Amino acid sequence: MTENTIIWIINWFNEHTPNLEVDLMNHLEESYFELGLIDSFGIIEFITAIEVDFSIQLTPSHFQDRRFATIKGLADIIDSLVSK
Amino acid sequence: MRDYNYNRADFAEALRSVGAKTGDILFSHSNIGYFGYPAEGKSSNIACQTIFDAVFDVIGDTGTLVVPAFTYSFARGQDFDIQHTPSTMGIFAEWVRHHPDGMRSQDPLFSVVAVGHRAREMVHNVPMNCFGEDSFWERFYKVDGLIANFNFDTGSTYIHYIERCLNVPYRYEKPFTGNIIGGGVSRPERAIFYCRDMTNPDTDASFEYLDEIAMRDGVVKLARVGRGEIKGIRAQAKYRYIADTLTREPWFLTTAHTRKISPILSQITSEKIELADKNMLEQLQVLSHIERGTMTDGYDLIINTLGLDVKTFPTGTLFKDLYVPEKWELISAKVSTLDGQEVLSHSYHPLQVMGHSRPVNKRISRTELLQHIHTHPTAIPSVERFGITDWGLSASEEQIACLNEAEYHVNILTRFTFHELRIGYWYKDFGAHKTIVVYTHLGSSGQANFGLSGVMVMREVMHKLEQSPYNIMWVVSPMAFWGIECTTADLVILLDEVGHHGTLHTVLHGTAMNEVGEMFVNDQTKKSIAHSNFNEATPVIKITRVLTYPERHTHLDTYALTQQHYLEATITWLLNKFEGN
Repeated sequence: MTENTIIWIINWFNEHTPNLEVDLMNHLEESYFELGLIDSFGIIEFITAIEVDFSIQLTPSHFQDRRFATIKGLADIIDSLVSK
Repeated sequence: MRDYNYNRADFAEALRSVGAKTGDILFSHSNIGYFGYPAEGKSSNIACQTIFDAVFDVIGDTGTLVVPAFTYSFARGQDFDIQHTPSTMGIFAEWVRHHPDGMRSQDPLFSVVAVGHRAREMVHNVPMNCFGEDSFWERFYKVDGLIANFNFDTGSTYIHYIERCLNVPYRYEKPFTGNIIGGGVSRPERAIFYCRDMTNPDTDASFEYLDEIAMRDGVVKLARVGRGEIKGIRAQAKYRYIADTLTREPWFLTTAHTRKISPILSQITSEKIELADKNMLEQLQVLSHIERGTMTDGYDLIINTLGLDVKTFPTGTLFKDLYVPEKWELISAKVSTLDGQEVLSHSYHPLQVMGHSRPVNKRISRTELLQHIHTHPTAIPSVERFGITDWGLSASEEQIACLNEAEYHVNILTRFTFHELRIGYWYKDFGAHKTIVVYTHLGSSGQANFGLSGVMVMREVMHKLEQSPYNIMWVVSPMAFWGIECTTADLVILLDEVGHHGTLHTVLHGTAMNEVGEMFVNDQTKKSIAHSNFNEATPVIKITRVLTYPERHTHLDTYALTQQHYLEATITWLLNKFEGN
């Protein structure tokens, strides 16, 4: 499940980040903010897409979870919500 | 269904409910995207303007907003341009940094930007100790500002200020150097960062538990805004809460707490060398081969071998202007031609690498390489540099002359960790009213006359001295700390370079007032120095056989230059001195 979620996240970044040259599979545990994949305003669109496609609701406690800023960590959070 | 998540009035109301009021000084870490879209518009610029306006709706014309604009410049080996160096603290912090009224502090690692009535008071002329006295963080504490985090937990960089005030064991002061550029002028500076050991995963900052218990205990106020939330806590309340919790849970701000362990902060080797079957010159020969730069395993090995009592000073302890550095481990170092031929190597001689060199691994031009090499006409010079963010090598001019390629590959692999400076000492209380303190140092790798000859002489004196009208103290330190740790005595002797041929000189080296010395010597010699006048300067003499010689401070200063009878004559001289003859 997590692997599919990771692929979904990577595809989203590939579609929304112009001129992305890094292979995100090699950066699963790095902050996507620090990788320059998204800024703190672009995250709004990202969150909306996650909530719609996975039919889940993200809350402030998820945003403050340090895992939220990495592809791997976010995939774990999404999967834990989907399984509920 | 509305197509926005909050507006300016919602934000202002949330701020008030976490405690913000007119005239407040706010410090905010932020990730404003998590609030969602503001009603005022769906651009990041409008979102920033909306939040900024809401903040000043609450704190008013007499209020001040401060945001982080950290760059970590010096720690990254970069210069810091006050006006232009960007930070990565989020779009709101960057927006405030570009605000026409924004004033940025000159801190080359943890600069902040302030806007409002007391902006100048908060950021002007901050010191170079990032979390020290009169830093922004101390000023913020004194005015009891409000930490209002936008979609961040209760953690804040401000916590490092609290940790420093409380002297937590897992952080320490570390100097970094670089240039600060401002007003068109570049000036060299040294900044002090209260850092942690980056190689120790157990001391990483971890504020989740703080957030959990601070919320549970009601010391943090929370307000929802749009999709996100604001958490507010007063600076002084946060200080008190953390200070109180640290007394019960000393690791609660680190990953060690999560792992339920008490971390090992430093490891000292217990190894020593057996010297009993060797004469003084043979002992000198054995010890001279030990790689023993300041704060290295080799240095600790020799201290263990000498069998002295040991006083320890953790990394970050300040001696006058010199901070005790981290432990330095040289794993490998070499310079190669692009086709892989090794031209300089640590395996040839350990002095080939500058002591406390930073790691580097890159292809560089000959010109750049030479800028990093310390040279000597005929030998490899001994060079150590602390507190600089640079790498370096040492080579003879003969070696330099062989570097004819346009480009090279340099690969220096070193490691820095939290450690303890170990000062060896021997104190013999003869019940006298006066105390003589003799300082020796361990010199550098491969060297014998420099440093080590004095140590070997005092080791013999220690065994032979039976009576004296003085109390005698002998101190062994690294060269960099030679004589710096103690100035409280009736006479200070600096003993060095006594195994080479030449007349024994006693040179008045000046005088020293007791300053830092009290932290070291007083507890050892308090009986005798109770009779001394603390406020008078102590005469310092240097005892040496040679004032200069060609091999001095180089890899050629080997044990072969040192002769037994010069060492023994020095022992006799010292015994006479100590016995009052």
